[in-house]
Amino acid sequence: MRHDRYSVEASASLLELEFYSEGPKGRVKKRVKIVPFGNGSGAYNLAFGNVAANGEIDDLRVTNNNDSQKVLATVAHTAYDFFEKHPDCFIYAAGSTKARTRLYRMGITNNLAEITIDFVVYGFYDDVWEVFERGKDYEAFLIKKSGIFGA
Amino acid sequence: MKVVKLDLVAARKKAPRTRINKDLKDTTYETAPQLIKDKIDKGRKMIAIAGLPK
Repeated sequence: MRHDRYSVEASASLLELEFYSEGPKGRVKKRVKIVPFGNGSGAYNLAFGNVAANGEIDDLRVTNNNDSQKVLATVAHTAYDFFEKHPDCFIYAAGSTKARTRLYRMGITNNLAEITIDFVVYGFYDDVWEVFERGKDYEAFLIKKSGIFGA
Repeated sequence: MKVVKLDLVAARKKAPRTRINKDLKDTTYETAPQLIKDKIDKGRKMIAIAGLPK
């Protein structure tokens, strides 16, 4: 993506990733966890948030480090890394709140032209997965690499 | 004419990169925190209802 992003540390399979947000609130540790659904569907849940005191992801905390674009670009880039290793899989993403899901939708909308060069994005709406359209209030998103399964 | 020389080494040093850290361990559905299990359960239901996109 064209936005600045942070350097990332990752597990060998690129399913567990960490980086630091830097800004007026200091250096804040962020984590991306990509977890297989475990039902043979080839779908993986992408969870993302601050690393809380107990070492787990807190995806409700708002950091206000004035770097949301850079953080979002970093998370988005983890998807590029993921699909290098898992080209025929889906990434599933849903916000922990409606507001967070809306934030994801805005991030996708703002970068749709660039994302769709390499990926197909679907939104879940009225019990159906449909190709992502701007302005629709989706419950969740699925992303796959273009050219897989005939797309 | 002004010649601009690219410093590729410096550019590479500045580029954000992904470094493998062997201390980072993957998470499965079984070992995931409850909030991730909840999201996966919701996603599984969506896939059960609508399948996966063709």
